[in-house]
Amino acid sequence: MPASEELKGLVSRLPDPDQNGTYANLDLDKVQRIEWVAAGLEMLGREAVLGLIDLLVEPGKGDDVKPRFALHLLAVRATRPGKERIRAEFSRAVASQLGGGRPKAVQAYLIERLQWTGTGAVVEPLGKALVDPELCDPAARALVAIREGAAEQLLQALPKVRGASRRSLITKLGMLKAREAGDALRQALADSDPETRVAAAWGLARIADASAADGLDLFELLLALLNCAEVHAGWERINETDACLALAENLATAGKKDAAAGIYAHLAKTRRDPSERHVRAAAERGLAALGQTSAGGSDEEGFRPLFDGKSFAGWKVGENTPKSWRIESGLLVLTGGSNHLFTQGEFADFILRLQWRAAKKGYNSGLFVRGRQIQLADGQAGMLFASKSAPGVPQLHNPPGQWNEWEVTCVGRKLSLKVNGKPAWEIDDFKPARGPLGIEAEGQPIDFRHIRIKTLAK
Amino acid sequence: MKKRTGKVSRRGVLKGVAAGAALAVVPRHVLGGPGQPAPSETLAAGLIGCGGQAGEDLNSYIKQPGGDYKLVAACDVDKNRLAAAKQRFGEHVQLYTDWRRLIERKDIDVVSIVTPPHWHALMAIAAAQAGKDILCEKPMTRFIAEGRAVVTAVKRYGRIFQIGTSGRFGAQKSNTSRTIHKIMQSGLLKRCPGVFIQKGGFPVQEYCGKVNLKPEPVPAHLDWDMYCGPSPLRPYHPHRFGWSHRFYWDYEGGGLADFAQHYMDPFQWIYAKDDTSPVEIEAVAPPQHPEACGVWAWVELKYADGLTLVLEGDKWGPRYDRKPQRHVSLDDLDPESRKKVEAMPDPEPLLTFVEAVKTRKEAGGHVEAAHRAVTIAHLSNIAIRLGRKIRYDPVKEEIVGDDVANRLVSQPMRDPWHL
Repeated sequence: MPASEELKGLVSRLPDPDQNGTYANLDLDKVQRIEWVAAGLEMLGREAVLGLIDLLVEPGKGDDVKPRFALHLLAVRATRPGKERIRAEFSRAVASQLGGGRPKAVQAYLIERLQWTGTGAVVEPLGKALVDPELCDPAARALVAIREGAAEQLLQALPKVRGASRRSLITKLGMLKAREAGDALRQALADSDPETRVAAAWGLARIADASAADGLDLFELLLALLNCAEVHAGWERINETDACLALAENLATAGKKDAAAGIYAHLAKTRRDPSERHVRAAAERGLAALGQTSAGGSDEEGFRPLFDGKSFAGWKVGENTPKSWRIESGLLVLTGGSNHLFTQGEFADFILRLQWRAAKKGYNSGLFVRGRQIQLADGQAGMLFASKSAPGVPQLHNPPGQWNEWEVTCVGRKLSLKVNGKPAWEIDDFKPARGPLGIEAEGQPIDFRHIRIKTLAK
Repeated sequence: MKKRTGKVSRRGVLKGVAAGAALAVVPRHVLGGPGQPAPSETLAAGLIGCGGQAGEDLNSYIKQPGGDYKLVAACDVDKNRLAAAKQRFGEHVQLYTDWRRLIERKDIDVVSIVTPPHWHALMAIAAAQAGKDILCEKPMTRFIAEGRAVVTAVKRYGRIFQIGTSGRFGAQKSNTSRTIHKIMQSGLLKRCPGVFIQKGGFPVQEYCGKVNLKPEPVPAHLDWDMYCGPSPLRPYHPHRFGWSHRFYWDYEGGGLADFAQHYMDPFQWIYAKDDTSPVEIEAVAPPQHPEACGVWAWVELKYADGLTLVLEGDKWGPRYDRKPQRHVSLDDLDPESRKKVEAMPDPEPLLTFVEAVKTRKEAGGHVEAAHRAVTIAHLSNIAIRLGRKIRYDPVKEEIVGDDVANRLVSQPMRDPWHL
């Protein structure tokens, strides 16, 4: 629809750029004029949108600075809360001008406006643009931004395109985590173009999570991905390996621990070249997080309980102990007071695990290890006293009322702490010694449970 | 453990412990054993981006006591700049126009990323995937979702990352800053009355893009497609290339994005906000052009705990006049909390890049902190570009209740690139 004289007049009222071609010259008057023109255009509705589009030209073929800016002003205004009807009308009007004879560069500009304002109502015209090699990627990007109904459009176009367009659609389906694209992505793993293969691997890693079904055989997928990553070299290998690790993380999060462990174990075993030590280390960390080692086996192997859940067996009890301690419902309960509790046994090198739950804020206690204390206090939990390299890690801790798990590893001169599975610190100047473990009573109530230890031979 | 007289004295607990600092050392199996650079070895470096800042980060962050580097490879999309790099860095430096070939090299320990920001994330991610440590120029990213992807990659592969700004290293030396840090870290200040105003220090009018660019032929020495990379392929114009890339949303985000990381780096450390983001963002600015960055007045950002942050251009439009600057202090705490904070040990000294590479503990300007700092700039620009207040979920890292604003948080990349 050609722009009316009224429309052209309105658009011309937009301020001119300054002599440098920028809008650095905007003063409050000019800003008001912009708002006024935009409001006026918005009131003209569909007619204004179509008229403005008719004023757009290919870059270099004329001056369309103001209509371009005006169209974008309308786009942004249309996305304000409460303006859904205007947004829908704007998007429909813009989408109606795709296809047909307009210059590709102009259509690309329109597609980009739809990336801002479009909803599921305009995915079909965008889908049609996918078969045009010049517009495929811009349209695909707009569809990804819109999300609703996008995957269907990308999939219907996939058999109709080749080369860079095909690679683009495969990648965008991966961006959407579109499960219905599983088969298409699997096929693309064997594509002749390495970049398409990489995109397919990456996309599959994203979509294969716990709820993945729809023709995606997880076992076959794992094999295919691991295989890809192994036979390729350089850039492709780096990317496909990352897809394997990303997939393992997704699977672990989704509770598919065996599948995740399978990926990690394979990578830990096969990536032995020094140049890939970071891959092996990542795989080993993944296994550790699953409670496994690369040699296999559960993480609790070799541990024995220090607290049996029903008695003080193994702990030094005196006449003052009940002033601070009692046992209740399987918990070792510190009620307060100042009577610390020490083990009867003495330990040199070990891994200690325990869980504790503070009753309220401002809690205060400590864990005695080789005569030193790891702070168990609100805001400073995890700090090793008198060390400059073992700070408190309150950010790793759950708040009072929730359980925390500590793992203290003490070997030779090395002492390290893990909180809720995350490493807190590690030091290398911990004086070797043999002594009991202890828990400090510092006037605050804290529950303890699952205290277990694995002693390590020298 | 409180200072008190009692059965177990602090001295008793400390008996037999060697006093003094200890360098945290990480076991060999985490270091990965043979091949990892020994403390006294020179790092082999690769440089991506041979413009004005090339080499600056390598010098600032590696040529420190205990550190040195040898540049073995350099990359640029512009063959002229590449030739100049050879002049500058030496004949032995291998040159590349495709940065992926540089990343593939097994003999590089650290990559220095000195391209325009729209490339930073992809290169940092690939460098991590390839087992390199990373020096990355500011602003760290062009949009928010990029930053999270970089954090994921850096953590997945246990790499060291240092952003190209270091204000926090100075901040940690100030007693006032350390005290605020301890107060905020303690969790004892429930409602934060702080108001931190960055007044000025941003180019505003100077960093506006041109709205009337006419296409020009692509110079023969420039790979324009690779330059545009993940950003839309626009008709070539010299103003979009080189220094002035700063003025375009496709590559950066004007003066706000270009300078905010410098100010937010120390601010975040002082206020212990390295792991979170503001929840409410409001800006004063005129309607923005879709491609050229424009002028802006100020942005007010609020954190969930009440802390207010203001970025003020101080060059255009109305000045910020809602709240006066107000630092947090011990006086904001009740006496009991105050004592607890005073008893807290000083924060751990921030590690330099060289120390971090050796110990494998994170550097001072580490990846999560840098991502959260630049997120402040991105949230500001989103509010500016949409002309409305936005709300942000700092855990999900999504804008709340505004799907269009969220399309600026996570922007689909141009083929073949993706996060």
